[in-house]
This record gives sequence, structure tokens and C-alpha cells, in this order.
Amino acid sequence: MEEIKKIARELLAENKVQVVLGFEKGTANKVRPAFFTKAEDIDKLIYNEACIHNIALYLKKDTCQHAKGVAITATPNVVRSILQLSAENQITEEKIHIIGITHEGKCAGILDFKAAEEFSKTQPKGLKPEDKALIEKIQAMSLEERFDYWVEAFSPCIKCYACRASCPMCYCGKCNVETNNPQWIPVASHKYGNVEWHMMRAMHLAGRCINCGECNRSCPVDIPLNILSYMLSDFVLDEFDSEAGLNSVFTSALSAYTVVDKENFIK
Amino acid sequence: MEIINKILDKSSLTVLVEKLNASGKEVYAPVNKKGITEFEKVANLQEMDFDCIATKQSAKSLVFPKVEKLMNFEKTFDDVIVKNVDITAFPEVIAFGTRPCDAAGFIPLDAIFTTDNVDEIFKARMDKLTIISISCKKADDFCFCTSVNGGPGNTSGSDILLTEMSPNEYYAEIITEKGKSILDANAALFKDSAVVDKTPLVAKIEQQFTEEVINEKLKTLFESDIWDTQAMRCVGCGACAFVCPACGCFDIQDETKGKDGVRHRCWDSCGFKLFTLHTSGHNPREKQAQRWRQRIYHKFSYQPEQQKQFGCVGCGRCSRACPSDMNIAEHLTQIAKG
Amino acid sequence: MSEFQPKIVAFVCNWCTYAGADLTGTSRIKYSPNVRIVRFPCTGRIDYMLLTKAFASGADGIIVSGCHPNDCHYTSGNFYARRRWIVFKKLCDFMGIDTRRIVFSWVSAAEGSKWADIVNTTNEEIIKLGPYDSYHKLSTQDILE
Repeated sequence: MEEIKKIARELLAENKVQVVLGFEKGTANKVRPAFFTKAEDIDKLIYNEACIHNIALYLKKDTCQHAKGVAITATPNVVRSILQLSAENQITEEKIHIIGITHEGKCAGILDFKAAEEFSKTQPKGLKPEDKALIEKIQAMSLEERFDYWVEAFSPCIKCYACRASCPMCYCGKCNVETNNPQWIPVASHKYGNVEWHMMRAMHLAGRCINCGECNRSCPVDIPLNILSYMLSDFVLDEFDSEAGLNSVFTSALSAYTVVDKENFIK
Repeated sequence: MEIINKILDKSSLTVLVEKLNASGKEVYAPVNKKGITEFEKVANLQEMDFDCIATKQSAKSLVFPKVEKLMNFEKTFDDVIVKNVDITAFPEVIAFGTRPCDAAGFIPLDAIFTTDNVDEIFKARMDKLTIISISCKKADDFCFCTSVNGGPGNTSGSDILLTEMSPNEYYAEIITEKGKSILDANAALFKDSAVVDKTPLVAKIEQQFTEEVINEKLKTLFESDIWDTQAMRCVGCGACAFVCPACGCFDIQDETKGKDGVRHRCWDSCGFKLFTLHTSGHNPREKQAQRWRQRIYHKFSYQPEQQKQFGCVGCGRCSRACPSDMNIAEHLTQIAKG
Repeated sequence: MSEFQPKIVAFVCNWCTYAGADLTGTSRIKYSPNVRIVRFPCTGRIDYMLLTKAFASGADGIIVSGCHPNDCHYTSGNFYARRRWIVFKKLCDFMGIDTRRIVFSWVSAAEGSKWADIVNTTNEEIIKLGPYDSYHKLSTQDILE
């Protein structure tokens, strides 16, 4: 912890970065993302196991966009998001100073993208057992049951778009739900509108999702919507041997192809 | 009308809910489903979650559902036939076990929909809603009702307010005519009572700021950079507005299928970029900070000015639901002290 | 005609399948009139949202067809499309959307008879499956009820 603070303080003091993106104590025993712009404020910087928010999200927001240099305290999920954002040409290496934090909460020092790639590959990943169990449970259902399951699961959705807003990969300036000529996705959060929205989101994240589970965490009505992108990430890895969040230069599965892609359903 | 004081046993309360159900009214109460407590239709009191401090979403969807059909329409060769919603067919609804803040939330919501123009659909739903609240025995760190003129035993908005005196007895205050009609129909269940001092029976919630100070401060803060600082970690979702009992903004959407169509009223939020985007491409609230400022000003400056009350009841739902801990009470306290 | 006549929407590319369907016609090969063809510049342009929109708008079956691999007019459009379909089919299966109703095929400009075959077999298959009530109901219940 002290090591993280020391690095952050130095970066700010030497003016290598103008913002340090990290965590601070929030209200009611919560922790929350915080922006530190002065070396003396770094005392308030914290890191503990509650700091699970994927703060790579803020790299695409105004505060970080306007800064010349940004440091970020980065757990494995944050590092993976940064690499994927770089792969999609959204951020550049010169600007980002990654202060790596291992899954055990140890400081891994400042990582350049090459080191970050190594870091990302060695940190544990994969689905949580309960997520895997839910995916298997759904796959074991009949077609009708699966349809009813999802219609029902999405029905509490209020379309607050917290899933989209908290996803580092949902950085589009204009989302598909915001286009209304034609109106692709109904604005209303009725059953149909919800199914189309979550299907569209899953499809747009296929092969790009780094499985941080932020969408699920931020959902106020607890829809297991991370399951959709988890399932697809798993499938994309199996099918195309492609995995997001491991390389800073990378073409996502659906932006690429090989002439030998296998399928068994095209007549 | 003058408040009528009564006492209800827990067993009578159970009977009351069954009788209300039997009389054809729909009773909604907090129900814990898979760890989340929300207002759901209940048949009896056993289903209800009495311990819940505040449901995840507010009770506003009873009168302002997330999708409200306003009308159907059908296109003919040279005309459009409009079929209005039959507002007389709306069910009689009882909101049971709401908290005083939930009940108070219907007052600013009602003001939004009935000042100047009366929204008939909203009014019809509101007229058929009876609110039986239960005072709060406990509160959490997000509650701040006492700072916005409310309180854990506040009667405003409720038709009947119940306060637990002992595990077996509730003190019932019958506040409105609607409440009285329930009392009259079930008079045998209620016992007479003197006025009871509720202070020792309800939670203690510290006042964090006052109306006067917030009013005074907001007069000069519009151009302040405090909004940038506060809104920095806001992710720009609409969770706060959608769980809020007093947020009434909506979007009108038409959906069609062939010649048939429907007009919906859907929840909307001032936190969204699209909320103020003009056709020209210009957006008067381009930055998230401006949208956050709008949220605070609307609730704590515009609504008090126009409707003589805060657009916030201090339930703390927005702060509980926020993925990045934008705590409205903390921010207001900061404004009050700053 | 009292028996069920399915509505089938075909999303086809301009260069191969559309020309193939044209050949079916000029060759005087009869095929089911239940298909409505929508022409696209390339299969790479066929967004999966179009497929769900078709179902929502009342289609019972969908055909998506383009140039054979390595024959794309734009070299690689159909390769991108193929990947997208592989993933989309998986997602549909997982979400309980009936992928028996979505037929993917490669039909070249020379395969007039193959096109007739695809349409006819799809038509028969959809007749067996019946109308796609569950999705139609989902997409219209808020409008029509």
C-alpha cells in the first residue's frame, strides 16, 4: 500500500502525471473511485479488497482525456481493460502510467504495456464457479425454457444503462440505443425492449469483454447480464483462440477472420 | 382532517391485509426476492419483508410505472383512430409498508404531474392509491430524511401511518379521508387510543443540513466549479433517477406494428446525455457535471421555488444504487458547509 | 389457402445470391413465393439486429445468404460475416431464440437451382415449426394488447 502511494506521490511531484486515478474511502463503509491531482492528497488514496470497480472506465472521460499524463492503480481487471482499450486505439501508452496491483493486493510497480501484457497473462482469470454453474444451468434448459428464463431475467430491467455506463468497453460517443432513425432498440423498458437491448450489448461486447463483471456489480436490479458476455468470451476463446485484454496490439475476434473459420450450419 | 389515533394488533393487521385483498384491492408491500426487496403484489402479510429499511426501487411505479401506455392508435386509409386508455379500469391499489419517505415522495411527484396541466392518467392512478406506511425503527448511513423536512415518523403523504409500539402492537394514525374509509370499513379491528409520542419508537436520524442554508448557497453556486469536482466520478447512468421516489422525468415513445401503434411514457433521466440533446447536435448540458448540477438544482432550488417543496425526501436510494458512490447527502452537506 | 403460409425474409448479397436468385427466375425454376428478398451490398453489411427486427416484425423464418468463401466481391466481407454468424448463432441458442428458423447459406450467381432448393426446404421446415409465436408475442404484446 505504502509503495503504491509512494509511486503515485512521485509521479505527481515530478509532474509526469496530472491525475492519479485510484480509490478513496467513500460513504457508509464503501470505497469509491477518486481522482488525485496533488501529491499531498495521496494520503487519502487507499486500496483494499473492496476496490473492485473497474476504474479504467475513467480513462475515456474528460478529466483523464484533458490530462497529459494519467496514473492509474490497476488491478488485473483494470490492466486488461487498459490493454483492450489500447488494442482498440482508444488510449496511448505514453500517457498512461499503470501502477499494477496483483490479485493478492500487492504492488507490482509501474508497468509499461509490455510488462502489463505479461502481468495480465500471469494473473488468474476465468469465470467464477457460480457464473459457470449458471451458464451450465441455462445451457441444460430446453429452447423454450431458455427463452422464458431470459425474458423473465431481463424483465426487472429499468434501462438505467448503468451496465453500459460502467463498462470500460462501452465508450462509444453515440450508443446504438441513442440512434432513433431508425429506432433499433425500443426506448421503453418493456420485455421486448429489454431483450433486444441486452442482446445487442452482448453482441457488441463479444470478443471484447474482459470479464470484469462491472456490469453486474452496477446493475441496481441485479440482472445476471455478465453471464451473456462471459459465455460469449468463453466461446470466442474456444472457437477462434482469441482473448481480449491480453495484448495491447490486438484485433478482436469479430473484427478479424481467418479463411479456415469452422462452422457446421451454413448450407 | 384531524388525525384519528388508533391501535392495531399484529393479528388485526394480518386480517386487515387479507380483508383489503378480499375487497378487490391490490395490495403492494416490500417483498424480499432473491436478496432484493421490492414492492410486489402480496396476498397476505407473511410475504412481507418488515425489516427492510428501504426497497431498492421506490414505490413510484405504482402511479408512474417504468412504461405507461398512454393510448393506442390505428391508422386507417385517411385518418387515425385514437383509443384512449380506460382510466376507470385502473385497480384500487394499497401501498402497504411504505416508509414515511416513500409516502412523502408522492407529494413532489404529484406536483410534477398536476401543476398547470393535470395528467389524467397519473391523477387516476393517484386517486386510487391508498398509502399505509410504517414508521422506521432503524435507519442506515444513507438515510437523511430529517435534513429535507421529513422524518422517520413523518405523516405527510401517508393515508395511514403505523408505528410499532411493541412486537404485537401498532399505533395507527389515520391521516386522510382515504385512510378513514379503510378505518370505517374495518372498524372492528382498530382499538381507540390516545395520542402517542412516537419519538422513542422511531429511529434517530441526524440532521446534516438545513433547507435555509441550501437555499442560500445554491443562489450563488450555479457557475461554481464544485459541480466538476463532485461529478468527476459520476458514470452517467440513470440509476439514481430511476430509483428515486420523486423523479418524474419521462420520454414519450411511439411504437407501431403495421397499422396499429401505441404511445408509451417511459422513465427518463437528466443524467443522460440524450436528455437535452437538440436535433441540431447542440447539447446545452454537454458535460456530466452540468447534468449533475441540474439534478441538484431541480430538486433543491427549482422545485422548492415552484412547488414549495424539495424534490427529494431523503430516502437515500440514489446513493445506495450508485455504482460509484455519488452520495447526494454528502454532496449537499459539502455545499452547505462550503 | 387455409394452411399456414410462413413469412420468410431473405437477406442476400447483391453480387452472388441476388444474382443467383435472378438466375432461378430466368431459368424458370419454381420456388416458394413465401420468401421476401432484401438485397444488401455484401453479407458483411447484414447486421444481426436486422435479423431480430425481422422476427419482431412478423417473420417466421430468415435466410441469410451470400458469396461462397473466397468468392466475395469485396474479398473478405463474407469472412467477417461468417464469424459474426457463428457468434450470433451461439448467442441466440443461449438466449432461447429459435435458430432453426435462421438459415445461413452460400449461393453463387451460378447456383439458381440451389437457391430454389434453399427457399423450398426452409419453407417446408418453417411450416413444420409453425409460426414464431413466442417472439411475435414478445415484440407486439405491448402494442396490440
